[in-house]
Amino acid sequence: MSVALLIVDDSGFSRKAMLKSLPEAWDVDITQATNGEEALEALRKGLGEVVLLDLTMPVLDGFGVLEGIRDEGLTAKVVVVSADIQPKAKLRVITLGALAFLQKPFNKESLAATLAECGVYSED
Amino acid sequence: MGFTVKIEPLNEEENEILQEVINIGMGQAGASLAKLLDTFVNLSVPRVSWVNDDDFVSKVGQLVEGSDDSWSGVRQAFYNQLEGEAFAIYGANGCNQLSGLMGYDESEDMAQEELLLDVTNILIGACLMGVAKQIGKQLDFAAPSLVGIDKPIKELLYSRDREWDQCLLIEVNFHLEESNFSCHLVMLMSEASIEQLRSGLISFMESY
Repeated sequence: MSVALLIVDDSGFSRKAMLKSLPEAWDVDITQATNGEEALEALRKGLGEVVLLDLTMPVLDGFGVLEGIRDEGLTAKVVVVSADIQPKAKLRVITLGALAFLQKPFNKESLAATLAECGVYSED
Repeated sequence: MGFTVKIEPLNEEENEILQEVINIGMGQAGASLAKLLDTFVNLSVPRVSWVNDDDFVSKVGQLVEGSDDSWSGVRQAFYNQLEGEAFAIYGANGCNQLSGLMGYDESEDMAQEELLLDVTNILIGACLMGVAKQIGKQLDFAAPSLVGIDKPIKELLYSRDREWDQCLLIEVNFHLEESNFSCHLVMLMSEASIEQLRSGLISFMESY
């Protein structure tokens, strides 16, 4: 059965890069969001079992999305994909319930490794 | 320079890639700044736009006008495959915030100058180096130098090295845990550098 994957990033380029870097064998139904508000709307509709989440975004940032998931009791496996490389940022997102933190710029290999690490995708 | 045709330096798609590449550079700058100031830095989405060198002083003036009365500026030249001059412009308010965070007294002029040079070196270095590294271009920096402290904006901007072809404006806001401080980064570049930038951005995109 395919996985509902939600890709959240304000940069169109970044979303395209994520789409192109997904493991080819991964069976996913993809929804895209360009800010945190859109992401929460999609999550409420059940469109994000797995979420690839940027942090720095207009309207509502990635921290806000994680807080929203927590406060509304939504279920989602979140991987944060961000250029914010402060150790405190990583700590904050993990404390807020994210499963992993992937640093930008990423590539196919680092994305696949992170997804495997969180147990949301495996090559076997 | 004689008559030039005013064209868009980068198309929409190339600008989108540039924006993301700058975003990544600013992430590195934010982390370095957080370390220097020993605080958490909330990053915002950097706003990026282009103006012709001819319009540079009036455009930058319009952009920053009203948000502060006086400004301090630091200039740093860069060369190699990308060539130009970068300015970091800080409002009086931002300078005081920075000094306060570092525990400096406002009267300590030397300390404030040093702080501005350090912060500029971090911001411009991380931003431009981040961009150059991602797009596979070589880049070197001259030492930063102070253009002025507490001056009207135009006075700071007139003091550039030479005429450049294009100017890239990057507006960055850093929200610190204790205070807010924003600054404007301005990159002036030659036409040849824009071409290097374009080719680098295209190969960066194709790497995905």
